[in-house]
Amino acid sequence: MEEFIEHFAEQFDETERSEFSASTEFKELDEWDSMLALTIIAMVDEEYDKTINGDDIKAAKTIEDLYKIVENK
Amino acid sequence: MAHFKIDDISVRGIVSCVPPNKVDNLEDINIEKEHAEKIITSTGIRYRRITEENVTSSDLCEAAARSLIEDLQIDPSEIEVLIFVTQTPDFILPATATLLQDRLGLSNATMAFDINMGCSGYVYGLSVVASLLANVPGDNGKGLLLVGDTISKVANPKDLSTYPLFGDAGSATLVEKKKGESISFDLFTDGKGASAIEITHGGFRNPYDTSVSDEITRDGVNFHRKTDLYLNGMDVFSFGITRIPKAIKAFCEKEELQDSDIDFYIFHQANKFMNEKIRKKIGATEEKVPYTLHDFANVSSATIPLTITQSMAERHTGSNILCCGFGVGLSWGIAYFKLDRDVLLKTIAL
Repeated sequence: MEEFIEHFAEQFDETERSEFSASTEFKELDEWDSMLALTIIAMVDEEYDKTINGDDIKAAKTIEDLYKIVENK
Repeated sequence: MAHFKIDDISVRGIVSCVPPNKVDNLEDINIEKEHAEKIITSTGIRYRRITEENVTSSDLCEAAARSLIEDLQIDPSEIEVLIFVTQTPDFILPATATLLQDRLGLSNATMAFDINMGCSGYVYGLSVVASLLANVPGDNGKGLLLVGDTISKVANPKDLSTYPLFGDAGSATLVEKKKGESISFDLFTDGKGASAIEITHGGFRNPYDTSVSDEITRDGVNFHRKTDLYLNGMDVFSFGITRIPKAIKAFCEKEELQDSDIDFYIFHQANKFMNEKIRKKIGATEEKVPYTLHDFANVSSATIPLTITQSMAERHTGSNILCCGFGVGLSWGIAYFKLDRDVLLKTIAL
């Protein structure tokens, strides 16, 4: 989980690292946009060799939610 | 898996045709400047070539075909097959290919029909023309593959997930029998993902009615009419970066191809962020993967021929190219063939 949060946070340029935790509602972050969604999909593909899609991003509210979705793929 | 090879066939010339009207995403009043800069950075798309209202895909393809026939000094009566690949035809019916047969002065003995395919359409069309010609008796046999789209006409200015990304273009490719040459194909389909790229109304499942002009939104940000293009960027992206590298690697294994056997990888021009992921995953160098996104945007079915004519026209050595189209359907396909030294490659403006 910690590693996932680390990878997740690395995709952001402007948001402070301290803002990321398991309970962070990532779509509420100012920096979040459709492009970041793509970089998260790419990160999951590269780091975990798993494919997530638009519905998975939509279904997840927090970083932990997304982590669980990735875990269950 | 539809993996096959057609022997004694080659591409003799390709002409692409773009509209002269060039729109700059940075200057477009429908896109906020800050947003436009972001789009250009992430997608690599700055300019779009946009047709006038009365110019269709078939007009762009007709101009490309006339130029091709003239430059190669082909007798139009020698052309036995005409395939028109498009998702923006002139009419619901008849097939636009029949109109093009007449406009180009081809003989009544020409077999002519349309194929409704987009991003993978060039590879699919090439496989159909090559397969048909392979069955023409004798050493001669010529086919005309016309591929083009005007997606700008169905991209809504209030939908920034499509509007800044698409341009218009047409192309004409002359395919002919030639001893010793060949084209290999690998073609795929996954209809489960069909809703990732779609125009839902105006066909017969959801006929055209007065409600289609209402603008709807699926994400609360972008708006489009039901007869406009809808694109789910996230789904297309995850499809592209996973399936395409796998398909290319598997094809190369089946064909026993090394990276050194391939001079250029010509990808469908979707967006730079996605295409670069694909390039890195297959381990191809930047020099081998040309782009036309910056100046021409995503021109749907015509991306592959346009990228060939734009990036390879100045080269005077024969090149082995691997073309890969992927997208709407979902549909994807690979074609591998040699472009001879004397092949005609040209881009014109209508």
